[in-house]
Amino acid sequence: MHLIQIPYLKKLWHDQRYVLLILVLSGALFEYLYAWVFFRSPMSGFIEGYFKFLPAEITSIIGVKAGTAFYQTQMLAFGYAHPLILITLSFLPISMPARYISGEIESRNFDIFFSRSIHRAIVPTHLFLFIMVSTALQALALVSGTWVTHLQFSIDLNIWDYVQVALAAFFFYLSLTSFALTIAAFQNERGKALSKIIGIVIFFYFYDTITRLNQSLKGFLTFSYFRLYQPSDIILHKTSNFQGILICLLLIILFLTIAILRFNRRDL
Amino acid sequence: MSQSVIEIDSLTKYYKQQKGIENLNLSIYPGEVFGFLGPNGAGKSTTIRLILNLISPTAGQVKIFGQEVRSNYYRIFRKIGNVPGEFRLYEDLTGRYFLDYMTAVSKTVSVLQEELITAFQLTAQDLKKKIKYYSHGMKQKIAIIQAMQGSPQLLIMDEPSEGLDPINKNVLYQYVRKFKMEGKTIFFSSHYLAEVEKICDRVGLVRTGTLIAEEKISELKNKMVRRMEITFAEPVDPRHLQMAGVKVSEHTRNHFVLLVSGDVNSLLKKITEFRIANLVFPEPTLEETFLTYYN
Repeated sequence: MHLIQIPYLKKLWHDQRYVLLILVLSGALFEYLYAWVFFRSPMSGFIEGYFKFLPAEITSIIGVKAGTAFYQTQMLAFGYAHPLILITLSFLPISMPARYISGEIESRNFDIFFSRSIHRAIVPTHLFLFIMVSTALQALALVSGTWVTHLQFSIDLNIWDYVQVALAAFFFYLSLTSFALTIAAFQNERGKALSKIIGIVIFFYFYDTITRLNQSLKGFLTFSYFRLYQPSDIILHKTSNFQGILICLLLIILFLTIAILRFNRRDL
Repeated sequence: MSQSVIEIDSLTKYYKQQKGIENLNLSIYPGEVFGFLGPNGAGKSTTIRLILNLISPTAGQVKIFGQEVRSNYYRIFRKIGNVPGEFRLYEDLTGRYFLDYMTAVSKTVSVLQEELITAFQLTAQDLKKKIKYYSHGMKQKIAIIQAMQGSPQLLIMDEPSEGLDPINKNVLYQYVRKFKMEGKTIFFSSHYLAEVEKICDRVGLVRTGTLIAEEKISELKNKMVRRMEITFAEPVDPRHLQMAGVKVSEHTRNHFVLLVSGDVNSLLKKITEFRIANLVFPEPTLEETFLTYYN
């Protein structure tokens, strides 16, 4: 049995190369433009003023307090948790398991593929590998975007903090990948798999937002999935990055194992 | 008899309460072309998907080359080629990429790829196009080529001639015969009796999830009752047509409907004693064949 199927990885690359390129470039470009707009553009003063008038609930969600010494650091950190960045980082972890597991069951692509000497575990493990490399590239692109602003606009920052955020993003989105693989392994249709994964992620996102907004629900924040990826907390050293990564690793092991076992045994 | 290539033992598959196939027992031997004949929805594709471990049985087991499929599929399938009945190719790949990809993932050598491409009249231009631009027939050819290109020991084909024109059907039959000559085994599912008669050595008849007969093609032909319609140019006494294996089903003075089983040579000799205005002797339908076995 061949544990690594290079042709399968090559096909994934063949299918996803343009999407991945767009995601990587847009991530880097976003962080670059973001820093420029907020700190070096003619609008930067206006934006900081605007942030001063935002309600405390909103500023607590995005983790930015204008007029403080931490404003710049917090703002840059928010650039790593901006909804656009969350969407680009979660694009492949959500879409690929739905397409390459549930979608190929639905379309009967596997009737030819799995009549070859290919172990069933190849599909979930190789999807995971591919998304792992893609997420690493995306995380690297985000840090690169920030690094370029540091060099070009002399924005004062500790790049190591942002490497730590990128690392947290990497493990967080890998845990999301393994979770999506598990859901896809239980579904026969791409559309159903996609809607279930997206639905659950949106639920987690709003769970996190609501528990942050409502003081009486603060206790429930402990169980928030998105708590595992809080860039501003990492940069301001409010939380241990190691702990979050460890939880993500455990989730990865758990869900990837379930996905492999389920896919190995299920009817295709 | 030598060890069977496919050994199916009490194979049963239920989809919740619905029967897919029930208590199927079958042995297919090396160098044999086995026809698996049945109407749509009879359980042919379910059987093939069970053989290929794409679905799990409710009961029973399948052995290929002496090894149980459920736990050894990735070792066994190196020697197998498969043309599914219902499939979708990777639409965004070109024909050539797809064929090479299937070879690469199965770690085999495509010894027959170029020969098959030529035989099925696919051009280099065709193979450069993305599969989504192919016609149904071209997709079918690609599916057949990917199954045969590695010259596998066992070829499993589920209605492979669907969508092929008569010329390419003949190419398919030629390669099935060639594989047989080389001692390879072919499991050939179809709902066309004529096709199975033409290329198979033995046939299994399946209906509503149950195997109702397993015969050599020669025995099947002998047992089959076929309908012959003759219109003579002049009135003929029905007693002239009474002989073993012939039953006069209905008649007028010069028009006869006969039910014929077994060898037709003596009947043909007899009817040519009279002037024939018209003779119709169609291929028996699948239903007629099944009725033979039910009766």
